[in-house]
Amino acid sequence: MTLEEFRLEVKKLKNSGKYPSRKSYLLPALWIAEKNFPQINSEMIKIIAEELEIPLVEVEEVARFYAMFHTERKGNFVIRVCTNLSCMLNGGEEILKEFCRLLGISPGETTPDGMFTVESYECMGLCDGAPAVTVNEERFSKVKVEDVPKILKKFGWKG
Amino acid sequence: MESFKIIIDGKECEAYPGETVLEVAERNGIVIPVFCYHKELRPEGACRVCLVEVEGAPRLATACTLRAMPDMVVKTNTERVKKARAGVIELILNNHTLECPICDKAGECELQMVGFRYGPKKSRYREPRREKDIVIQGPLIEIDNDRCILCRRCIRMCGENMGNRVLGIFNRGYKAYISPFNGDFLEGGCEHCGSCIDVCPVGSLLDRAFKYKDRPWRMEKTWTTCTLCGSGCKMEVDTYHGKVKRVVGRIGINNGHNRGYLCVRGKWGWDIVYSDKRLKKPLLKKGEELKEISLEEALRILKEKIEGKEINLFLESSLTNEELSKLSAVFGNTNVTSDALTFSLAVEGIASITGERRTASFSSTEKSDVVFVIGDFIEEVNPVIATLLRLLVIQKGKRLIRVGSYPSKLDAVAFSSLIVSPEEVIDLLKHFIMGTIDLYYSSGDRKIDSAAKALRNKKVAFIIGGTTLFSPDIKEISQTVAYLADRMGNATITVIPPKANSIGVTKLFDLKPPEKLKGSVNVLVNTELERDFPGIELPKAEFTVVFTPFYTHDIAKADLVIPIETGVEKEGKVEGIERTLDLKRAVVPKYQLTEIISQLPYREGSREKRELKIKKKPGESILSGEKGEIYFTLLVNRTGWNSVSYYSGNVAKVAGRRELHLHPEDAKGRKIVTLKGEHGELPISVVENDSLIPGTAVLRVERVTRDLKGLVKFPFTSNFKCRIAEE
Amino acid sequence: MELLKKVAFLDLLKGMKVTLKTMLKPTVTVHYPFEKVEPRKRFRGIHALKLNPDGSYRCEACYLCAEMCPSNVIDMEMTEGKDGKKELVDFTVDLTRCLFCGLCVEACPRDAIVMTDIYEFSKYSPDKLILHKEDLLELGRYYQRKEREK
Repeated sequence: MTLEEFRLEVKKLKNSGKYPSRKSYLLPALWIAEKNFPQINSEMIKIIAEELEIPLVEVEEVARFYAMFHTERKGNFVIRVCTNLSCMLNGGEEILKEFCRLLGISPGETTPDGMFTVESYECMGLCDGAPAVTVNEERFSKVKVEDVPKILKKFGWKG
Repeated sequence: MESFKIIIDGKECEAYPGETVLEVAERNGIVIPVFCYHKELRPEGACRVCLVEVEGAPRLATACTLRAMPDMVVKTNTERVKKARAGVIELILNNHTLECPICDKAGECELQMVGFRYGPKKSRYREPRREKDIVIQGPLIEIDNDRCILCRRCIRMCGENMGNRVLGIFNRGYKAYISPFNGDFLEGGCEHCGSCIDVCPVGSLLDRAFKYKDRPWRMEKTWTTCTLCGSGCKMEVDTYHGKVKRVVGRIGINNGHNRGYLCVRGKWGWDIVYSDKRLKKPLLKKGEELKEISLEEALRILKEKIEGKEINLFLESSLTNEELSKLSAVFGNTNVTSDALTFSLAVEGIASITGERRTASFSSTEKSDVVFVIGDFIEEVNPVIATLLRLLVIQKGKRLIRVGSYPSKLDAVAFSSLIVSPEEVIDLLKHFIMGTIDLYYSSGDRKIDSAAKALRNKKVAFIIGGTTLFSPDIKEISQTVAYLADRMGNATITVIPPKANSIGVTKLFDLKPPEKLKGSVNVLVNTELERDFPGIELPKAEFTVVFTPFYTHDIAKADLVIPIETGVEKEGKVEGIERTLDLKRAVVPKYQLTEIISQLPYREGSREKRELKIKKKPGESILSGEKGEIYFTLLVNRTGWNSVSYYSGNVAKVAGRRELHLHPEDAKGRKIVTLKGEHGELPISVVENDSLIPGTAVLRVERVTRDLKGLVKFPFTSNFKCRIAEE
Repeated sequence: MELLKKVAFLDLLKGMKVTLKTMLKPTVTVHYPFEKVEPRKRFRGIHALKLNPDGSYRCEACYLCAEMCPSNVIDMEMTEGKDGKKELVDFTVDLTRCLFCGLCVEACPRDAIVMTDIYEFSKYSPDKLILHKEDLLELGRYYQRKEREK
């Protein structure tokens, strides 16, 4: 997606009339940016601010507030390992460590080839399948340490 | 409003409905420590230092957000409160860097004061201090996030009071930090008013011009008035060993009508005093060259040359009353012109209805219900007045109606903003004349009707200002406004002076257009011809004397140049927007205008009696344009007004650009256009701006230079007609 | 008894008691300009500004020493350096007014200002008694050399 296409998308969203006020379009507009670009940078923030007539800094505040928006460059696959209570008790932290060990990065970082980003995450509502891992939109329940390479290979990990 | 009693610390205090406990306590001399609360800001309750105990309530409550209720019993000094307070301060101090020795705020830091008085004696934390290590440097403002206590005062000041929303909090929790968009102040649209620095309780927001320059407590404080525009802001000038270190507004402490709000010129324009373009010695023209001479010699020559001659006096209207009266005594007051000419026309227009040449002070807005503003770009010419008008709406809940031809920052808070073509402004005002009195009158426009309805039976403060003062029809506009005010009865009219002493100049002199001057010696005082009298040639004269603080282009035309003082060196009185304002000298200048002039012989002067024709009828529109002509307004940027950014190194860092704002219909996709005026052309880059109405354009300049001569002609630099050359 | 006193010059001996007592001990008096006394360990002489091992000065121009000073001896000018750090432009110590109380040393949060053991600083003109930043840093180098020797 180019920036011009993105501007059209935001315009389309704005004219859809889904939400009561201009500010309500901010999160959906940021979602478009998050899904189509590797990172939300100042160019996109400027476009959103211009189209929705919201102060620039307010858009950046929202984009930086939520952990699911990436203002730093993210990989093609974002691996989120839950480390909240039930997942932690069932070994979520070991799984996070295993991911980090295999990819050679620490939580919150991206592999140099730009394939994977590993994040330690708060509850995703998958406590019944603890410990839980999601890769982009796909979820994995009751993950064991042995499963980690399998999950990675599924997304094209060559290690 | 009926008052009731509440008891704070056993003392019976009078409270009014809607007041918070903190406000009541403050008025009764009971001290409650605060961080996030500020008199000028909306209470937020973020820091929780102002916790108090309320009898009957299970938990401690924040005094800054707690509304006072009848028969409330509040305790601010129990052991429980003290312990909670100390705990909060301990948590804040835990992550606050120990940089007091080098921090510029030390000595006037609220965290220091509150910490010493109410804080714990010892910290129980052994964890390492959080170090964000994020320093954001703008051209004039610096944010040191390690010192920040996240009270959000700067964000509320910037977003709500100033209406800019430049600063914001990024990230969450312990990673949160303050920053403008993308870490860049200029990109974020900062106006550099410096209010965020002023309200910061710690040394997180810093004035970069003052950074590490001095310690706050050792400097000598002089309260004076800013002379860089007509707002007449009271400000504190801090000097050490006779050198200006900084200017602060002290929002919340300042008792001037500006309440401590300053703009970029007032806050950072003090260094025009130390400009490298300052004139050091008197100069005399010998042949083609200018030679330095002594002041005694200069005065001797001047005495010789002006003796018995009639003098053309060109005044810039930020001279003090003392200087003006001495000038009129020495040089006579018959052939005088000034850049306050349009201001005097506005006063004249009002006087033709009311019969007296005076305007109301700005405080009349406090007593009114509705503020009716007729003016464009008040936020550029008088930024602080625009802020105060905004605050009237935000803090006092008054209604603001604005009439103008260009979009303004005030529109964001206006109850109604009516933007029409310059030709139609007077017609629009006439609708109001009918609409406010005749209940069944309809102008055919619902927006006008609703605005007129809002004026009915209300106390209205009319305000004329901004670039409208330089419009050719200013006299008619002010006459119409005065007529409207006269018909409404319960109204006041204030004209915002564009320069510090515009009112004083109009009071003291009968100003004439420069073409009508008949003298044989030109005397220019504090003025720059290009800036104050654009498009005007100096009348032919035997001798030209220039009194100026700086090296200006006029020096080339002068026979004798004498340096004078400027900025914070001035002393005296000016007739400001709010009664007479005092100027106190912060730095002693080498050459003082009053001292120089007193050594010249006084001459017998007579002043013609000014006739005043009273005609009780509204003015008629005199503007009419042909097709293809566009109304232009020459707008000097906020930073460039009074040539501040040209002489001040600080303000030059944030100076604006020269560009032409055109409606997309007029711009037709062109990036550069050539403007064709009566006497000249000017190529200029275009910015498309769809908030303008078609047929109007704003020519933004940083400094009025010679190449604008062909387009603009003094005194009307606004709403002049120009054509855009077709390529 | 009286006679004995007279014969044995008892009065004289009494009078010379002190002389006799100290006669054989080593001399204490110092012939000052030719001989000098090593000041005691915590002697308060003229001021000096200490330096870091890398040659930069320790002073951060916080002005606390000047604030502490009872006789207004210290004055300083500061500015922002090129690297964004606080920089000392000038540090003046007016020795004509100083009473060597040492409060400035107590106040210093960076242990930058110290008092050397130099007590000979008389000059022919009073304006030479005003020490500037360079002089103080030179004294600081001397102070630190001395300290290392110890």
